Amino acid sequence: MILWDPNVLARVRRLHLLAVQTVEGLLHGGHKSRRVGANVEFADYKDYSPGDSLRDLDWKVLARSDRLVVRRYEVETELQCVLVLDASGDLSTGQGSPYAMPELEGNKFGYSLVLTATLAYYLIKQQEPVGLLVLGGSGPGAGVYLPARGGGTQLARIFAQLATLRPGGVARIGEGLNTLGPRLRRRGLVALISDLMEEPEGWMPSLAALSRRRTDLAVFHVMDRRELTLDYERPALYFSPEGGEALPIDPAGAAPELRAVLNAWLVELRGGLAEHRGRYYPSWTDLPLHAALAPMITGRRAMPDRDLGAV
Amino acid sequence: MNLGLLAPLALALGALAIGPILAHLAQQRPSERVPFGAMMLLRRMVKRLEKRRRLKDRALLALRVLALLLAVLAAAQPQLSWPGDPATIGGLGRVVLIVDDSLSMSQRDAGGTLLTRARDHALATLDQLPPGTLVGLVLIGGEARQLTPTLTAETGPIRDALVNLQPSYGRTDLEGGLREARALLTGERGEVLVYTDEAGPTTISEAQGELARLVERGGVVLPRPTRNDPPANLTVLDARYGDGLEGGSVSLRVANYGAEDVEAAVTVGLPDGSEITAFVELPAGGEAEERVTVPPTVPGGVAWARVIDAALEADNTRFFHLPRVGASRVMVVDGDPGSTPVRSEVYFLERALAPWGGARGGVLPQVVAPSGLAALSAEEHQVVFLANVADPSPWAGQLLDFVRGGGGVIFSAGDNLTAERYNEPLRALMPAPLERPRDLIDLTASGGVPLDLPDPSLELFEAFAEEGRQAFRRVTTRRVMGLGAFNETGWTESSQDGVRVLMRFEGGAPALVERRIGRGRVLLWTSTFDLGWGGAPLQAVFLPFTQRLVAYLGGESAGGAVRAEGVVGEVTSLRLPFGGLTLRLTGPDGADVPMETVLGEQTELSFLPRLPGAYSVQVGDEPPVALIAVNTPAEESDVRAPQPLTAAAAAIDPALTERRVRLGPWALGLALTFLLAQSLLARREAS
Repeated sequence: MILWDPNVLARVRRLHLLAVQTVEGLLHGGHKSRRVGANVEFADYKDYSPGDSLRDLDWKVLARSDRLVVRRYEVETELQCVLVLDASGDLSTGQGSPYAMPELEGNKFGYSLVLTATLAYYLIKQQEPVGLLVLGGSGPGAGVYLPARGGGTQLARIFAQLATLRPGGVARIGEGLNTLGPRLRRRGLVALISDLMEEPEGWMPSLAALSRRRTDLAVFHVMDRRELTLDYERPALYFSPEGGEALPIDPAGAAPELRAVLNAWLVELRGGLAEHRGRYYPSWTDLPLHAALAPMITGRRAMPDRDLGAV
Repeated sequence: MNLGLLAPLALALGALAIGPILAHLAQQRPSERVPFGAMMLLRRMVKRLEKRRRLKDRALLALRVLALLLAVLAAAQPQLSWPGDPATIGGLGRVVLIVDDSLSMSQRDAGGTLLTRARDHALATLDQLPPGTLVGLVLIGGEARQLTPTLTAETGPIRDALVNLQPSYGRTDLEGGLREARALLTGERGEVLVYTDEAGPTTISEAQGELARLVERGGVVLPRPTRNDPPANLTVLDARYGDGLEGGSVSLRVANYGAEDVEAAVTVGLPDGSEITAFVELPAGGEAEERVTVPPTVPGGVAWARVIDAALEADNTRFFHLPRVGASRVMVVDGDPGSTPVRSEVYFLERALAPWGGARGGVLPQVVAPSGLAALSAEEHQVVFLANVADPSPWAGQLLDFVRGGGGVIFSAGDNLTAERYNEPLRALMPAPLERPRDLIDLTASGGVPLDLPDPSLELFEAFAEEGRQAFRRVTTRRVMGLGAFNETGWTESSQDGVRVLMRFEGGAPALVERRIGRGRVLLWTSTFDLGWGGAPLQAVFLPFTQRLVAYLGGESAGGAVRAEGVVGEVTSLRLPFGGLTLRLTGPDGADVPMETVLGEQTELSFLPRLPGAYSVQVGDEPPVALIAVNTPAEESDVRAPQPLTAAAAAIDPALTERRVRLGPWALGLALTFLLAQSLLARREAS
């Protein structure tokens, strides 16, 4: 069993430790916990009968139709959460993350793993059922889907999958989100952790489809500052681990042009997500996790301008 | 403007342009490979840059190739040349000014003439010459002439000569002018400035040989064209009295050397002072012909035709000879007044000579009896018909003078003619001695011997060459006058020079015999002009043949005065048929004109006319013995300058009339500039 692999166990412990540290740090200081996605929804009407609370009486219906009806509500106590983790080959690049994992020192994938584990811990701690969908990747956890469940066992299961996962292959975000739709029985939360290095027209429609199902969307955009600023020394042939043609690039000359392209792309992403009521959380790998998680957990808005300004 | 290469083979180095092209195509790619997780953004960036970079790449390639080609061009030593003068006139220390004062330089030009413009330019050039420059002046109107015997640094006389310059009526003697300039330069190098309007179809082409010689001796010919643009001039190219002997017409040929169609008034002035005006439409650059009918009676002399044209007035008038035109120029001497028309030669001759009774022009014969020959005058008559005159011997001398002076005499045979009264007294006139009449067939029989077909190559029968010649075959005779000097096959040993048979009857009997005497002719018709011996007057050809006889005989007659023509500026010569007399030549302005004469039995006279118009030679106060119509040179009227002197000079040595700039340093500088630009662009591209 892979879980008996000492390295995997070390990673699980590391993930757990980082998750606990982050979540506890965020919640420290008397923050009132917030139930993400919790709400009370209207179900139907029934005729009033003696004994019903007058507070539930629908006075507007009484005024219009002279009928006594009582509003009935369906109270949801659980919010199905699915964490969608992009484990494609492109995530294996990057060197700016402080969250070192064995064999994953500093790259975007290491950061994504810790972010996913932290989200899972936080949601489990909030008594929410949490699932996991891995897009791409290699190793035993590649392409795995864990339906949403609550409890420490589910958390351990998620950590175990994350601990065995390695970046590789192609994410195909759109296809992954499409498979997720039928699996969500009720409204829920879908959190996508990805560098989004696929053309938006390939996955934005899938996100829109989830949005039409009234699913809460949260996108954690994992970005490596060195990559996006082309902070490299010499001209070289740049290639994607996912394959494709290599491009000869002189970083010094191309950086300003890439910055313009990056800004245009971020504007495109934000606009697309806003259109589909998705929340966008920029997640720079060289910043602590709570910089990305705090806006979600504490309800504060992210500060994209400041984040962009750092690019 | 021309572009030339001093080292064209260096262009082969242009093949080196392939170098930067190959280098451009073989751009180096880095070898280090770096995994990169944001390739999507890089691809977007590359796509965005691709278009811009493609333009930059092409600009870079173009700059490199251009730089190399310009360097190669610099090695080929290109030079640019364009028409132009030396930087400084007088730089060679010797200058000859050739000023065209010919007729065409009298063209009007903004208040003055082309000559005044040329003169002002020449004066301005004189002022700008460096001090000490040796200068000479040559005029080329009429006959080229040096106004300075040698080149001189003293410009005062030259300036005075230019200021007092007057136009001539002569032609442009550019060839002579260049020759004089060469003589002035005496083999030294010098500049020859030519102020001319280049008028005349052959002015430049005739001067090319001398131009080449001058250039060969170191002369730098600098044309200074002085023209009106566009040129314009009307002139009467030709005016002559037409074919009609009596009351005929003057044929005019008028030219328009301008660029626009015009309608011009042309006036013909007759010797009696009367004028006839006609209007003629002249196409641009073309000619038109017009006929002006003169009155039935006009005295002979020099007439003129004038076209109204302000552009160049000096050539507006053309002078021409007009013979005496009158109704009595043909005398018919009736030697056999018949009782019936059939027996009267005059009856048929009158109708053949004046079929409309003279009302519509043509010949109006003056019929006289033989005694009327006493009134024969070369001034009034051209042709005399002696129709069956029995004894013309009393007027033999008068007839001989008449013929020698250009008149024509026709003898027609008949029963009145006898050898005794003709052969000896008229020996000097008769084409052949008469014998007795000879019957070709029985005189009582009908019909007769027809004429042979006449020879159309003879001037007399030219008019019948195309049609009408066969009609002569219908002319028959039964009897002819026997001629002593002829047999039926041709000449005898006694035939004289100037005698020939113009027509024969079938079988060989002479029908018409000619003898030339002096400027005139005598014809002998061996049959009759009535129906006595033959049927000639009844044939249709009789009328045109008779008219033709008059034109043929009268063509050379112009009265008593000798007629000659001349051109202004050219020596005119004429021969008078007498000698030993004191002659006086009077010009159109009434002044005596100097002349040279060679006396002998005849007088050879020559003079140089300076003015156009009528010149007359007189003996004392007698009527003129000679009239000379002098005109301006026709080629001067063609002001269009078909071949510029500049082009002619450039054809001999292009360096004479062009300035040059070496483009090599410019090309090299431009190449370096392009190299610098490409390096800057390449550096920016690399970054």
